[in-house]
Amino acid sequence: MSFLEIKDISKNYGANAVVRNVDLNIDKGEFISLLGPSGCGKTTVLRMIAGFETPTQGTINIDNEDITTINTARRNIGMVFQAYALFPNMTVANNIAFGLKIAGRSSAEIKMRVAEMLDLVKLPALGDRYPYQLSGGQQQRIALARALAISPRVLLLDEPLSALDAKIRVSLREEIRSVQRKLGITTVFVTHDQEEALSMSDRVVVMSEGRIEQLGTPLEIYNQPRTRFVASFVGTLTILSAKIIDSAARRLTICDQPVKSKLSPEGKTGQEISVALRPEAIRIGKPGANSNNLNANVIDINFLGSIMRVKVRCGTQDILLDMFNQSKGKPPAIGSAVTVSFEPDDLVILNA
Amino acid sequence: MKNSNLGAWLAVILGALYFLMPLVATFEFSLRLKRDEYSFEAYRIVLSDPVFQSAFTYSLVLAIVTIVIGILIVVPTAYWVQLRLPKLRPVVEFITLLPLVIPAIIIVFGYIRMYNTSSFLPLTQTVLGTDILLSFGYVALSLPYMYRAVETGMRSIDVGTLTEAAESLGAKWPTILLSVILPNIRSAILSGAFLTFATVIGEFTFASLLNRPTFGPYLQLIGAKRAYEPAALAIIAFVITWACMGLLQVAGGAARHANGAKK
Repeated sequence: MSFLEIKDISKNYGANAVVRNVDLNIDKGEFISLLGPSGCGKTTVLRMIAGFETPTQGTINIDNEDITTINTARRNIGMVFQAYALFPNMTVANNIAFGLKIAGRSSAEIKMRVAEMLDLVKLPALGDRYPYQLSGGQQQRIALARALAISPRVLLLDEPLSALDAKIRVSLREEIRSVQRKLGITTVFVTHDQEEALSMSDRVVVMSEGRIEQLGTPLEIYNQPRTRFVASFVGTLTILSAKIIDSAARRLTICDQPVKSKLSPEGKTGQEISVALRPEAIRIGKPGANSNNLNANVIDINFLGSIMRVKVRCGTQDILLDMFNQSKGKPPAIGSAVTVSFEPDDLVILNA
Repeated sequence: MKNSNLGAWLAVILGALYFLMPLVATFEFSLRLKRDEYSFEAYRIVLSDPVFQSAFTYSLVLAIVTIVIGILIVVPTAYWVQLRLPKLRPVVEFITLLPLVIPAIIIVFGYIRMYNTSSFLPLTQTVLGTDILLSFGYVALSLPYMYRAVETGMRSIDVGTLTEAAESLGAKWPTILLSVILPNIRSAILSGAFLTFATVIGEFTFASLLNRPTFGPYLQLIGAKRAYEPAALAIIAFVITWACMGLLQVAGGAARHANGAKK
């Protein structure tokens, strides 16, 4: 039995369906990310779990209790917002104590809990400050401490890192993850940043147009995207058109050159299908015994620091591939003919 | 560059003279009750006049009652409009601006017609009823200032997210309004309150037509009968208004400090 169960929920605003038949089971202590572009319904799902929106259809259970129509104040959930939402009129300590005071805890207990929470987010000396005296990263840590102080059953994070600058974002995401692991709290994290979702989560839910496109571990999502949308949204990827030669023997052609895939493509011989390749799965030269090889011409090279992204053209199709920036290896000249190789495992066959 | 500076200074000096000269003249005149010497005799007479004291106290109490009722009506309304009914904002704005469009004399005649002794709610029959009517009339009269101030204050904080944050921590509506929203728009409420205060203290039409002994009609009465005392009263009224403005500045300054530092 899952701890947080979302059963077939939908949300309509008039004729506009924002969330469509979402089913999701989250285990106790699991860290789940809802990933997707803006307007995909991920935030609405989170807001329905929080109780800020009521589903048009479906139910939400926490620990076998149906909370679908229960008031937010009685759900015992912790929420962290993109805009921090600390109470500007209260000190950091009073912000953290807010939920505890409402729960009617004793002042000694509150004091202890506040200190414990400040330690947890590594800001033990800031209790007397006001929110406006803190940096964005510090404010968001306090917001996390405030949400966790009431020992919520579920922690909901609504793009908590989006308002922060790049460096803080990386360090804070590691910190959120480590706090989440330490407390073992069931967490739902909403983000449009695939790197955040992949690096922090136990499982990732990729959403598009109100539906779940794919649910899986970060590795599965990245390496085996099931749909064209997931493939294009998560990571960089080249989507190519291929022709089925022999479905059973897993033989195809890409720009009229034969290749093999690991899984059998669905379709008739001669049918065009979409396949995808990650830039890091392709190399120039060094063909292996069973690798696929394509003859192509280098048309562009982009220097990205540790890697170089090379664009090659094969027939009418462009393929991206990554080379490590090593002092030994020289990048190929633009216009030169090369053979690019990849393993059948890395050829992803897209369903839609 | 120099020329434009000179022009600006000239404008400032002219403006200052335009405003200050009548005031200085009034003040100077108010000091001349005793022949051949300056004294505060006119002030002493005014301030020791029991009618002045009662009229001013009465207006003061009315102002406070008006402010309290105004806050009780405006804050929850503005909060609700901001949070749940943003589409109603133009409607509410229009309603709150009506007292600026409809002359006070028309409003008060409407009141007298609606609540006279032979109406369904004969408020003007008793003194208390008339006082209630007067203070509600003042609430309507000061609505544009109170609502504007509170609404601006609410727009400067993220009412929606703060409410949701408080809700997720277990707080219910009264707690959210009292301990999260109100303290964060305190300076806005204070601005509205001071403007209301200034409006009520100087109001004449309502009080006169409802025949209540407030400060406004008293000022008019003295002005009709005496020479030096009205000048002293005018100065006193100015000082009170300036004190209100000063308090408003202080409150506004505090708000700017909080807002500026928030970023």
